[in-house]
Parts: sequence; structure tokens; C-alpha cells
Amino acid sequence: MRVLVVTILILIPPTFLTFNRVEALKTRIRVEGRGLFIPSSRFLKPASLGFDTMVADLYWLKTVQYIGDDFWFRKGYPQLFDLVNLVTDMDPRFEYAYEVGGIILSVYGGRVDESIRILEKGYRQRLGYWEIPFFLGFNYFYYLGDYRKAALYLTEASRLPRSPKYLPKLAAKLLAKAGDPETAIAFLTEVLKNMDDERMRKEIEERIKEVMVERDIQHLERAIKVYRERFGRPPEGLEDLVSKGIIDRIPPEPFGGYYYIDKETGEVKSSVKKERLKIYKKRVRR
Amino acid sequence: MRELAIAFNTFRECIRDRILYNLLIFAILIIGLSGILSTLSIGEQVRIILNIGLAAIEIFGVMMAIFLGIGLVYKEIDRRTIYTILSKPIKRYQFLVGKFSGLLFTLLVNLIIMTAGLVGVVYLMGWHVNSTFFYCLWLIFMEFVLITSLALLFSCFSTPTLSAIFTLSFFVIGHLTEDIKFFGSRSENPFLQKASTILYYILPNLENFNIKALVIDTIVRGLYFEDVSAGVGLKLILFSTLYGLFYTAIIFLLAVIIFEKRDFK
Amino acid sequence: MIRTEGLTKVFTVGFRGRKVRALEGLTLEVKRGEIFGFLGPNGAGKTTTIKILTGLLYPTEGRAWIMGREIGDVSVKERMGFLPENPSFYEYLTGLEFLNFYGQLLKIPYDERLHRIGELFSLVGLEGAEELQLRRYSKGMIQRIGIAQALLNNPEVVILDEPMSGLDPLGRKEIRDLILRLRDEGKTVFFSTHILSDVEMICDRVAILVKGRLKAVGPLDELLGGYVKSIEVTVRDPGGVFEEVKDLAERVIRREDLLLISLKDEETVERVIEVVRERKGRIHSIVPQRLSLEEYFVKMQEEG
Repeated sequence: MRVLVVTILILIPPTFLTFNRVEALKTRIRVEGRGLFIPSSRFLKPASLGFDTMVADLYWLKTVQYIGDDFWFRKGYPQLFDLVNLVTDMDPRFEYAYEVGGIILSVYGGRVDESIRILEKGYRQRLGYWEIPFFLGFNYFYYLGDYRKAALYLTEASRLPRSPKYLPKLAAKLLAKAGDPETAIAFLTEVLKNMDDERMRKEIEERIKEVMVERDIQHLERAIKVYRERFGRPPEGLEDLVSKGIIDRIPPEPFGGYYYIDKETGEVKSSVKKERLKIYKKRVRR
Repeated sequence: MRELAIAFNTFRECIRDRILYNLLIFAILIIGLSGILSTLSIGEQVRIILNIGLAAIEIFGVMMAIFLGIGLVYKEIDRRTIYTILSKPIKRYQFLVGKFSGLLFTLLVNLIIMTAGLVGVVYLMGWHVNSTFFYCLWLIFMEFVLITSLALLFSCFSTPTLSAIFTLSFFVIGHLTEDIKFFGSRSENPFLQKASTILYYILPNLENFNIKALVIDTIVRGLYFEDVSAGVGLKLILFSTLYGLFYTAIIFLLAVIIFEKRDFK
Repeated sequence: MIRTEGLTKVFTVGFRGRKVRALEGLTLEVKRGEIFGFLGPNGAGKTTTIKILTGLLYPTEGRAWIMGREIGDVSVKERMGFLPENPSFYEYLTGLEFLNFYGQLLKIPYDERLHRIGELFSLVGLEGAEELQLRRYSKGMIQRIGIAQALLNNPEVVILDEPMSGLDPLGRKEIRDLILRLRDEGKTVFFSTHILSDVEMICDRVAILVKGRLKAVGPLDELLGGYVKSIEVTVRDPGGVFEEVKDLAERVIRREDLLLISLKDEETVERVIEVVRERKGRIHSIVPQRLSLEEYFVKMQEEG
């Protein structure tokens, strides 16, 4: 009997060692670009023997884990769509999956079309949550620059229970003053209000600052135009705009940098964000 | 080799058990069905066949391991056949070795039959499998080995119903240990964090034997497993196998300890 | 051949861990070549003792030896045969497969094994049932094949737990004959029973177990002979005997001129005989009434 107990004790360390070894090897294989095994819902649905929603929950847990994995974050979540699609196939009323999947796919993954596909799938279920059309509207507005569609979805969202009072106004603004950065800021602030995830909030705050930069640059460029009309030449620097009384002050750069006039192109630039934000530009990965 | 006589008799017991045939017939049906289902798909047919087929082999094999394993020792005690067996010149641990290996042999034979069915369906669809396929089956068999040892352990002190519940729970949890660890690590509660880490290491990690996705991907691309990540694939097989063997040995020895101490009232 | 020393078994039952003392300091010796009957009412601890001897239970205290080796030694089992109470075997096997399997466990070489199995089938009267699955065997057939498996290795010691239970009178007689035959072959037979008639015809010695304690060991006649319940005297009464003896006797039954007189002891028998002689009566028979085993058990339980 003592022999057995001792043998068991001897066997424990190699069990752990091989366990760790397998773990390391699995990570290496994963790092080299292979993903999760995601079964097809066509197979899983019958195989779950009526426990569809429970299986959906299990895969949702896997999805949350996938989202939390920094490795897949850096890769831009290549399988997130498949995961969320499976979860919502198994349980089509899983509102939170559509919402979170949709936001993360576009905001982090840059996978706007996948985000829209998931959100529209959820929207077709008519679950009565205003968030789904709201984020659809956000996608159309912010990434695709389709203001008409964005306004349409916002109007839909505003009709659903518990939607913020601000939505109809925002929709109207979208239709009227589409290219206005102030509209974008208002929209994004509304998005920000509906985020609780810290990392997401940071991401959206970043976007707001980017739009603020765009707003400031548009503002400064209009001032330069006035300056050129008045004096027949471009200003030496932005300070000239203030000293000649065209603007009251140079707006603070929201990232903590400063604005300046590029000597070569004559465009206004931010010291932090060299690239100018094009709201119309599709920010789709690959 | 008295163990061999026990093992052979266990094999005979299993193949004369109706449960085995029911499960085998269902497994073969589903594997056959995978061929039909795959024709519904456009492209990637072999992927669907392999997905369904390997899942069926694994699930039905595990069910065989559980439903035959839970009765392995219990039935002998319940039907009092153990009285005369143990009055023969055989040590108790030899009896367990015989029982365990007899069931493993049964499972191996069934695995071969189900595999033949799946390979047949794949060939009928005009595809073929390569050696990569057998690495996957090997690890599936390692999972059977581990599950069988658990069923045997429970069978030594518990009724079949309870044993089935215990073993099934281990099967399910064994595939979710990584999730347990993940949720523990996300928890604010230090006790939960500790507990989840301990569970992660103590519970059998059955995902270590799950390379189905990797293997199917490799086969569909017409590659060989030996090529996967410059030999990492083969190392994974080796260490997963070792892990399975060590873990099984521990569980089996626990079963021996319990069985040696038991009174047969 | 079999020796036990202070064997004690305490079972723990139920969730509350209640202790049940099934066997209390059993010390016993069975000699080579004898048929030893192990008697006791149900629940006396017979099966517990046998299970300890065959290694199915571990004694709480005490030790036991078979053929000079401590129980638990596997080599003992090579020369021992065992039939449990109400045996049950692998019902999916045929009789032949079953005995062949057990023969393998005993490492009997193939040819010898087949020969031996053939012999045993005829010995226990199961010819023709070789290819039948055990699930189709009747209870009596199971008992017989159980005996066959106990004899496979031509054992020196045979332990049988209630070998006659569940058998019809003919079956019981066959088993009794078989046990006698085993003794004639020089084997030691240790068997348990709770039925006296099984024992009294064949046993050399018996042990009586009541409530886990050993009450008596020895030849059955000696044990029960010590307890004469009453003496029944039958006499022909030409007249006057009845009146004189009715006060001496416990009970007198008169049918025409015949008297059936139950007496307590031999002294009163003497006096009754005197009376009969005086009255010119005739004595037909004097029969001492011994205790039956059942009454003996009752007496033991009252004493214990």
C-alpha cells in the first residue's frame, strides 16, 4: 500500500511537467497562426440535443475569453465573427452577443462589414433593444460615412424602449449637417455614454479626440482662408491668425500636442496626429 | 498471465453487452450521415465529413468508455462474481489491471471499426486521409484511456448511476479547464483566483488531446502533420501522450488503493 | 489445515457509522482430511468467517492460516477451492467458457484443463450443458457448476458456503455424496449450513456459531447428546400403571391400553420400569428425545 502511495507521489511531478510542456507547445502552434476549432451550427444545433441555449452560453464564455486574449486582440480578432455567429445561431435571442460582438468587431477589429453583418442579424431578430440599431448607425456613420443609413438606424433606435432622448435630434443633425465634426462628436459622446468597458471607453475617447483634431484643423483652415483673402498671402504661423484678430485663440490640441502649418504643403497639422482623419475614409482592415 | 485471462474475459463481457452495439451502430450511422450532410455543402466537403466523423468517434467512444467502465468493477461486486474470482490465485491489483486493459482493448477495436467507417466515407467522397489523421485518432484514444481510468476509479466505490454522473462531469469539465482558469484570472476575489488555478492543474485537461481542428485543417490543405510548425506538432503528440499516461497511472493507482482496501460484504 | 486465532470482524453500517460486531474472537482448528460443518442460524457470522478465510473481507482483529500459510498469501489459493453462498457467475459465458476461464486463472495447462473440465461436468452431473450460457442455467445447475469451479484445481481444502441451499432433496443428497467422496480423496471440506440434517449424516466434526461467538466444537453426537430433552417410554398397561405414573411423568397419553409417558430423567425411568414390572405390564420402547439443532440454537441463544 505504501508503495502505491509513493508511486503516486513520484508520478505527480512528471504529470505537471508534461502538462506545462503541452501548454507551451499549444501556445506555440497558436502563435503561428492557427485558430480555434469552431464547429458549424448546422452540426452543433442537432448535436446539442435541445440544450441550444446552454451550448450558446458555453461558446459565449469561449468568446469572452477570446476577446480578452491579447494575442487575438493584436491579430484583430480573425475568428470573432464566426464565434459570435455560432453563439447567435444557437441562441438567436442572445442580445448581448450581437451588441458586444458588433462593437468589438468594428472598434477593435476594424472588421466593419463583419460587425454590420452581426448587428444586422441581431436587428432582424427584432429583439427590441435600441442598442443594436444604434451601433449599426454608428458603424454606417463613423466607418462607412453613409449618413443617410446611419440616420435611418438612429431613428429606428429612438423608437425602441429606453432609448436616450437625444437620439431623434442626433438623427436629424446627421441628415442636415452630415460632414460636421460637431455631429460626429455628439454621436461619439452618445456612444461613450453606453460603454462600460474601460478599454472600450478609452478607445472611443481617443476617437473623440481625433474628431476634435479634425474639427480644430477645419476651423484653423477656414481662418487661414480668411487671412489669405484679407492679406493676399498665407500666414507665417498660426499665431498670425490670433494677432490679426481672425480667431480669438489657437485651440488646445486634445492629445496634448500643438497645431502648426506644414511649410511644404501649407496644411494645418497636429504635432501628435500626423495623419488627417477622413471621416469618409473606410477604416477597414486589409 | 492471469491478467490476460481477466482482460480477455472483460473483452468478451463487453462485446456481449448490448450497450456496445447500440453505441457502435449510432456512431456508424452518424459517420455515414456525415457523407450525406457534406453533399449539402458547397466546397469544404471533406472538412464537414471529418468534423462530424471525428466528433462522432470521440463522443461515442467516450460514451462506451463511460457506460462500460462504470460497471467494470461494480457489476462484479453486485453480481457476486468477484467472490470466486478473488478466491482464485490472483491479486486484487492484477484483477484491476485485467479489467482495465480488457476494456481498453474493446475500445481500441471499436475505434478501429469507427475509423474504418470514416475512412470509407472519405474515400467514397473521392478524398483520402493521410498519416496526420491517425495522430488525431491516437490522442482521441488517449482521451478514452483517461476517461476509462476515471470510470474504473468511480466504479470501485460507487454505484453505476453515480459513477456515470461523476465520469460525465469530468468529461465535460475536462474540456473546460482552460475556461475555468481564465475566469478565475479575471476574478477580483483572490480565493477564486487560487481555487481556479488549483482546479486547472488538478482536473484532467482533456483539451490536451483535442487536435481535431488542427489536424482537419492540415488534411484539408493536403499537408502532413510532421510539417506543422516545424515539428512542434509531433512534440505535441508526444507530450500529450505522456501527460495522458501519467495522469491515467495516477488515477489507476488510486483505484488500486481503494480496491485493495475494500471489503466485499 | 485451517486455523483461526481470535478472528473478529466489526462492520460499520449506515451514515452514522453504527458498529456491528459480526464475529467475536473466533478461534478454530480444522484438521486435515475431515469434513467440518460450520453451523449457526442466519446472521451468526458464518459467511463473514468464510469471506475472511477467502480474502474477501479483512478481519478487524485476529489472524488465520490455511495449510500453514497466512490468509492473503496467493499461493494458498492455488490449493484451495471455494463456493460462495448463492453463487452467481458470468452469465454471458457458457459453462465450458466459464470453467476454461477459471482454469486459465489457475494456470492449468491447456490439455489438462480440457480433460479436467470434462471430468468435472460429469462429476457434478452437468453433461450436455457445456455449451449453454450460464444465464440459462437453473439454480441447481449454477450450484453444481459452482462446485465444479471450486474443484478445478483439485484442491486440498474446499470451502463451501451453504452448498445445499436452494436445492431439492435429491440435489442435497448428491451434494452430500460428493462431499463424502471429496473426503475419501483425502481433501479437507469446510462447509457452512444452518440445516441439521445436512450435517448429521456426513460431518466428522462441527462448530456452532451463535451471534458471532463460537459456542461449541466437536462431533455432533457429543454436542447434542449432552442435551437430552426427555425420555419417552411406551408401555402396555394391564391396569393401574397409569394411576401410579401420572405424577412422575411430565405428560402421559393414554390410548386404549397403551401409555406414552414422557419423562424428565433416567431416575424416573427406573421407577416407571419398576412400577410396570409390579403391575405385570410390558415395556414396548424407551426412546431418549434429543434436542433438535433448532432447539439447540434457541438454548444457546438463551444461554448466551
